Amino acid sequence: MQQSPGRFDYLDNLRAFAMLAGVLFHAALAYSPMAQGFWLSADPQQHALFDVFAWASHLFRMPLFFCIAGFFTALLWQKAGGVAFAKNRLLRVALSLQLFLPLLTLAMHGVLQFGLAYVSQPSALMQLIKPMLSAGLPAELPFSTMHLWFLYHLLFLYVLTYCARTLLSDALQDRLLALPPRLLLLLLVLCMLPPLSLVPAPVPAPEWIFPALWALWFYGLFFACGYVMFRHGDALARYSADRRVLLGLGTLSYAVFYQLLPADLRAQQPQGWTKLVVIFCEASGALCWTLAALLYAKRYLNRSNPLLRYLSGVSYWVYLVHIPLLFLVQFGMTDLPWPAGVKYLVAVLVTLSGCLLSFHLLVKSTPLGKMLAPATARL
Amino acid sequence: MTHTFSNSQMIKLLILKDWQLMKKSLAAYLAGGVLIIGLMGMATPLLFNTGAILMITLMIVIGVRSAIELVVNEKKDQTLTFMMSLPVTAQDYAWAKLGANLVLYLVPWLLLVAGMLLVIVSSPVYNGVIPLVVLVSVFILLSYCSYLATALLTYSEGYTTAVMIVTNLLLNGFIIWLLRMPAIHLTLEAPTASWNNTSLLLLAAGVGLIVLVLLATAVLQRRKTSFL
Repeated sequence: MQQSPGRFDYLDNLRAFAMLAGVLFHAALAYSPMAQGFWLSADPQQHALFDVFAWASHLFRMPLFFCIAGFFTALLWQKAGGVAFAKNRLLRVALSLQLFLPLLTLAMHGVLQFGLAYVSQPSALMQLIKPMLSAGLPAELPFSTMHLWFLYHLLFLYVLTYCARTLLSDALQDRLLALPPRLLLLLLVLCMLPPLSLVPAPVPAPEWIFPALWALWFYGLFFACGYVMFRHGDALARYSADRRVLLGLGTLSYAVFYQLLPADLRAQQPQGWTKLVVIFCEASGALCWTLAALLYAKRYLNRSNPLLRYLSGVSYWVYLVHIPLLFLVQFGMTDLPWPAGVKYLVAVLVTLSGCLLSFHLLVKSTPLGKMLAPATARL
Repeated sequence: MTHTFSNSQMIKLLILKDWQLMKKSLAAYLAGGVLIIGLMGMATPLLFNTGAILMITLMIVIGVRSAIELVVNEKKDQTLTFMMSLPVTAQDYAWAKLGANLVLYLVPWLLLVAGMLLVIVSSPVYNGVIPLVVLVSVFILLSYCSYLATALLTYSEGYTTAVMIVTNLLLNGFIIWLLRMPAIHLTLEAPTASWNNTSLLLLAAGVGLIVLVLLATAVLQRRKTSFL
C-alpha cells in the first residue's frame, strides 16, 4: 500500500468513487419523493432518506469530478503537450461520447418500451411519454446527451482551456492565489451565484445537445480550480487545516439548502431572497464539500492497491453503461410491494454486477477496454 | 505545379508563422463562438436572434481581421521586406498566404456553422431556417474569399477595405433578397429543412463562385515574379 511514483492516487481513487457514486445517485432518484415528478423509473415506494442522500451527493459529486478533470487536464497538457493532449482527449472523451451515445439511446428506447409494456404503476414521466409514443412523437423530442452530458461539456471546457491558456497570463493565477484563502473561497462562491440563478435547484443535468452556458460557467469554475491545483501544488494544502471546518460548513449549507427545497421539485421553485439563500447554500455546499473530499482523500486515499486500481479502471465503463441496466432492473421491480430500501439495494447490486460482468466478458481484452480502462491492464 | 510546391517546407513555416501571429485572436474567436452557441442554445426568440446576429458579426470580424493583419499589414508594417530576405520566392510567399488565410478562416467558420446548425437541429427553433443559415454563411465565406483575393493580389488597404464594405453591404441586401423569395421564406417555419431547387441552385452558385475566386487568385499569383 504505497503511492506509485509520479501518480496522484488519491485523485484516481476519488474520481472512481465519484463515478460509482453516480450509480448510487441515479438509483436513489427512483425512490426519492422529490424526484417523483420527473424521474423515469420513479417507484411507488419512496422514502425521504433517499432525498437526503441523493441531493447531498448531487451537490458535490459532479463539481468534484470537474475539479479532478481540470487537474488532469493541466497534468496531461504539461506532460504530453497540446497536440498529444488533444489526441488523448479525442480518443478517451470524444470517441467514447460518439460511440456510446447512439448505443445508449437505442438501449434506453428498448428499456422504455419494456417499462411501458411491463409496469402497471408507471411514473408520472412515463405516463406523459406513453401517449406521445403511441402518437409517434418521439422523433420530435429534443436530442439528449443523457448522463453523458459531462463528456460533452468537458469537450467545450477543453476548448475554453486552450483559449484561457492562450489569452490569460499565468500571473492571474498568482494574483488570485495571493488572496487570503477564505476570501478566495467567498469569491468563488459569489462567482457561482449567477449561473445557479439561471436554473432550478438542485442543478439539473444539462443534457441538451448544445453547451449550457450556466453549466460551463458553474462546472468551469471547479474545472479551473482543479487546473490551478495542479499548476500550484500548494493551492490545496493551504486549506488542509480547515478540512473539518469545510466539512462542517458544507453540511450546514446542505442542511439549509435541503430545508428550502420544495417537496416536489417540479412545483414552484423558491423565488426572491429565498432563491438567493438556496443558491448561496448550493454554491457554498458544493465548494466546501468538494474541497473537503479532496483534502480527506489526500489524507486517507492516497494509496494504491489492486482493489483501488481495479475500481479506478472499471469505474468509467460502469458509469457509461449503467443507466439502461439500472432502469431495466427498476422497471422490473416497480410493481413489487418490497420496501424502497430493499429495491434500492437490489437495483444497485444487480446493476453493478451486470456492468462488471459485461466489462469482463465484452470489453476488458479488447481495444475498447484499453481505451476505457487502461488501469486494469496492469492488474 | 511541381515548381509551385518546390519549397513546401518554407511554405509550411510561413503558415505556422501566421498561425502563431493569429493564435490569440483565434482563441478569442473560439471562446466567443462557444458563448454565442450557448446563447442561441437557450432557444428563446430574443437570445436566438441576438446569437445569430453575433454569429454573423463574428464571422465577418474573423475574416476582416485575418485579411488585414496577415496580408495588408505585412506590407504596411515592413514585415514584407523581412520576408524578401528569406529563401522564398514570391510564389512560395503567395501560396503560404493563401493557405494560411484559408485555414485560419475555414476552421472557425466551419466550427461556427456546425455549432449553429447543431443548435437549430436540437432546439425548438424551426429546422426550416437551415437553408437560410447555410446560404448566408456561404455568402459570408464568398465575401471573405473576395476580399482575401483583393488583399493578396493588390496588398492595398484601400482596395481591400472597399471590397469589404461592398460585400458587407451586399450581405444585408442578400438576406433581404432571400427572405423575399417565396421558395425560401415560405419554408422558414417548416419542421424540417426544405432544400428546394431555388435554395440548391443558390448554394451551388455560392460554392461555384468561391472556387472560381480562389482559382483565379491562385492563377494570378502564379504569374507574379516579384513580391510587390
